[in-house]
Amino acid sequence: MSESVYVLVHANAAPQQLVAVLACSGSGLRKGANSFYVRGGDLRLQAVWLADGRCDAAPPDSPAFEYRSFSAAQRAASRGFCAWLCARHPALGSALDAGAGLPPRMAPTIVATREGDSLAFLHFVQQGELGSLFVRYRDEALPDAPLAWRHFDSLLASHAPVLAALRPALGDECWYTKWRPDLEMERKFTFQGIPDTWQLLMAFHDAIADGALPDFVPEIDREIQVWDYEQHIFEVLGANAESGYVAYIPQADGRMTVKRKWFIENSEVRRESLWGNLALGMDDIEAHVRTLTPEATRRLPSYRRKRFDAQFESLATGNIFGIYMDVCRTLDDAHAFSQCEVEYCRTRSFGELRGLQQDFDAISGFVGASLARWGQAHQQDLYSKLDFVREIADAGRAEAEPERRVA
Amino acid sequence: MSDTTSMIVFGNWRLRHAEPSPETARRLRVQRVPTRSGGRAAQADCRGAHALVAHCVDAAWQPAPDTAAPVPSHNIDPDWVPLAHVDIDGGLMHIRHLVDRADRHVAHFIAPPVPVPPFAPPRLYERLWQAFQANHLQTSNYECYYAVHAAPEELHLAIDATAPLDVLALGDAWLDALDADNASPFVAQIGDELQHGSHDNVLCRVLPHLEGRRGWANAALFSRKRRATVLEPLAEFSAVLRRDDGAPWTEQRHPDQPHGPAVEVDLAQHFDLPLRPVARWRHARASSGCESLETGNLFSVGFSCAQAAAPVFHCAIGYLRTRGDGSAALVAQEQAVLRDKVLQFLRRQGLDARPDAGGIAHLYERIAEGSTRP
Repeated sequence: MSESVYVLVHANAAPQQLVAVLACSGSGLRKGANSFYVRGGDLRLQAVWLADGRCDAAPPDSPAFEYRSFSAAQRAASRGFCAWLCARHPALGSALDAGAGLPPRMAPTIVATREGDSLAFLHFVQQGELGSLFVRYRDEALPDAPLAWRHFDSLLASHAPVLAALRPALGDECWYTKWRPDLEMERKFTFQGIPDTWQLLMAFHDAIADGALPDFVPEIDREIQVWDYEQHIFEVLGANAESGYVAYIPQADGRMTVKRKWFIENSEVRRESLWGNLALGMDDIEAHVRTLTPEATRRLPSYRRKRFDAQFESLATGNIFGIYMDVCRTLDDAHAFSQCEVEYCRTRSFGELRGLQQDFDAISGFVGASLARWGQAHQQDLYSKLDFVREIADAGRAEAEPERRVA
Repeated sequence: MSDTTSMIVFGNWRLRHAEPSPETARRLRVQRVPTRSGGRAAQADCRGAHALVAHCVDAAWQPAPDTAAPVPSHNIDPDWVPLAHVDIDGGLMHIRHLVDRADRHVAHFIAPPVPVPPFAPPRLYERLWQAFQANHLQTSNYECYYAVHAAPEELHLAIDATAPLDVLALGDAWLDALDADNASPFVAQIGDELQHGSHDNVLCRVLPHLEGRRGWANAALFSRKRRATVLEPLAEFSAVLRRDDGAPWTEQRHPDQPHGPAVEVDLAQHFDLPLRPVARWRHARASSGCESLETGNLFSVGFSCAQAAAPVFHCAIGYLRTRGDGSAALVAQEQAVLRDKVLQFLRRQGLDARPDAGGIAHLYERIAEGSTRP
């Protein structure tokens, strides 16, 4: 079903001045209650509305609608579209002039979409290779009369206060919030054997990009991440508020990251702290762990963690989750296990935090169902990396002291 | 610095991560791909069909016939990922760079800190395995291989434009210029190609006081902190100060500072300085990360419009960090070279641009005066 999208174009030199409304249409659009993810080619120009009341239908041979500038190809397409627009509507030439002999440039910051009997207004936040993202900041009732230039002009004027309040959040990377930075929220799927974790991550990325998980899209600019590092781990004993583990992670630059998790029993929500860039060598970690806790600790086998990440954003809420594929292998290569984690990362919304648990359940449910559909043997559990190395250590001790195992 | 078709090795991800591979995954494909490369790093967009040089199956090097059809490849693919940038010289293969990050649109490679001696092509699989094993911390941790070798001031260019100038369009043109300049070691930094900002600021002049420091304090009303709510008021407080006219300016920046409605009061308390607000101004900025493939030095190039009573245009070239080893002298040298490249670019656009040794203090002075000419 084709939907209408109104792209609002302002003068480059006077960002408050609306100079054109580009009435576009598209089908299969990726939008939700929080945000609108526009893929290249999603929108087709239908008409250009101008300040003098004219409404000019786009000819069938109008160029592809493009406004992004992330890549050279996008910049070329954007310039081509803008040049065509200015040639067809010379009045726009001066408004979209970039100065210094640069070609005219159109960079829409606001779009409006029809949502039932209201208009949703969304502000541009980010662009990338696959798409661009607009986040919803205001809803307005649809006017009784057919939509026209004057409606957008007056509505936008009334939005000035809310847009001014949001301005600090509109710059690059300024739009993120996070629920409880001191807690991690993750669900685990432990594989039987060691699967092709890279292929699985690609499969999840492609499936979600293609719309297999309604409301979720790949997070722009954080598509795929590759990690491969060692963890040297101490279990914190005592079965009290100190319990959990401390992991020492050597960095590429010779410094150390220290990660601590507090828990007595495995659970999906655990307290976690991370300290990076510490001037610690491997010879220092035994002494350092004693500065972190008064409780007894137990050194467990070290392992190498080979991790592939992809991040996905809910268009309904702005909540962002990572799907992480792990292969953990002890440094002597004697033991290995593999797991998929779904973890809450951050939120991008101009509204309140909402729907976190529902989103967590939705994406985790999708991951579990997909693994089952693909025949990837696994079980959803709370099995932790601490369990992995603790079992190895316990087995080793049992072998070394069989009489105590019997006892 | 080169921009030619180079040999890129594609293969299974397991080789990069020392994971046991089934026999079918122990195959490599070597193709000629247009590549920008320097001593420290290389970038290639591997998408498209590229000429096949050879297959390498276990220890068998199988050159492709001249008639072989180009083979489609990708930067990210389930089965065939870009692994390394290599060349063959005198019959021996050299591993120039190992992949360290791949996005949909480009792959980035870095010279292995533990180098690999040249070897006969049939040993490619074995030597790549060893190279990744020896360098995995530097090459396979999402670009964590950074060091900071200097803390230089940003280099500034003043731009005098009498007509309106869209700095976002200027930023786009700069990215195109970077793409087109094949002889240059500088490329857009993968992952940080494009950042746009537009935030308000409160600029204050430091009033005369007993301690004697003079200059400017500024509250930039934005924060990148993951905060509890999006409207939580946080700002970056900065000050640029000196004791007397002949002394160098020193700048301090303190991000994520909470503030109330009278941000100038919070700013004065933060720096313990008497301040007088002189301008509320808007900073529109198009910024791009810029990498020297020769040295691994990373810089930012930001084109700005400071809009108060009148628009003031300028450009700042700052050092960020380095992929691996380096030196303060090399950073300073390349920062100056990059500044000159940006200056040439601006002049090619017909803009009246010149180095501005007064830096951020001079910019604040121009904003306060509402003048486009000092």
